[in-house]
Amino acid sequence: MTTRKTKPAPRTRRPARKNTAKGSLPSPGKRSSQAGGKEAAPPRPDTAPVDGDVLAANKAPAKTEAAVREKAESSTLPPVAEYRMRMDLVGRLLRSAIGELPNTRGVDAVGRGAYLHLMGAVFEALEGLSLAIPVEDLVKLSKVIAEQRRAELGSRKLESIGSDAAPRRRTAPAFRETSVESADADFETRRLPARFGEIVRQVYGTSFAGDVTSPRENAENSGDAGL
Amino acid sequence: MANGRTMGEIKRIRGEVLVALKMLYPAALRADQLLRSLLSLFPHMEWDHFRRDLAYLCEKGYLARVVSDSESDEKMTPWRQRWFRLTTTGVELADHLIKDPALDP
Repeated sequence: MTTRKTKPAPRTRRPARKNTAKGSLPSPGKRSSQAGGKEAAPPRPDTAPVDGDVLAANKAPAKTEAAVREKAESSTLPPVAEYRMRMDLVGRLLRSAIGELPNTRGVDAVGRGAYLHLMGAVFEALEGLSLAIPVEDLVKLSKVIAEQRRAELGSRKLESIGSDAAPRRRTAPAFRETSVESADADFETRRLPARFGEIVRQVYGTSFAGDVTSPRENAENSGDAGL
Repeated sequence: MANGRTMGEIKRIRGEVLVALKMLYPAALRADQLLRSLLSLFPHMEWDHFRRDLAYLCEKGYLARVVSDSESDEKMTPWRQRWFRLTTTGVELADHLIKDPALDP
């Protein structure tokens, strides 16, 4: 079977071509440039809905692409240009609203001070600085947050160490014991469960009476002794 | 690099200080207000560098300090609370009517 070289459309229908599009239909302009033909191939019906708008868009690829580019360039100014434009507008407003700073020697100092403060307040309002947090406060806030984070991390570390070390404490005294007295001291410092005496009585049939028992258990044991 | 800033950054920042004050000319602006305004362009700018740039531009004759009546002692006023405006030479430089190799990009 001989392939028809005059028909570029079948080549553009390969799935590999679609990966160039970022979640949207690939521009027909690219397809035509890659295929070397002038006609734009319509999208595959199983991948994109056959829509009249889509087909209409594909029929005039150059216009939409150029229009999109022009729109993008006009809407996004460089930050420096945008800043200068904003400052220019603020300056015009200041001059028109407040006027110029008097340069004569006989100017009233109070008036000059008031003028400066008014100028500063108006500038802050126009530039949006009055709504912004001052830089000093930002520095202070960042330091406070950093210290708070450090404290939280430190407390978390201590908690994790404590939780990890808790099961080990039960076995540790067995290795640390060097004398009976130290073992007794460790035993006394430990808290016995509330029903320890009852458990001993049920298991061994005798009451558990000792210095380490709680007063409640002693009272219970003394009450049960008569039975 | 000087103090963590490249040559281009230094020139750009000083140039934008002149341009910003030119837009407001002949009005004056407080140093901390000017800094906060320029932070939108240079978010990593530091106060120490900015203060030195202001002092440099003042000594060069492009900026002039305006003393407010609320300042009891102008020498004791913190730099953040000081007011600055462009001089005539500063306006000419900002308009590119005169050149300064140290500030030309």
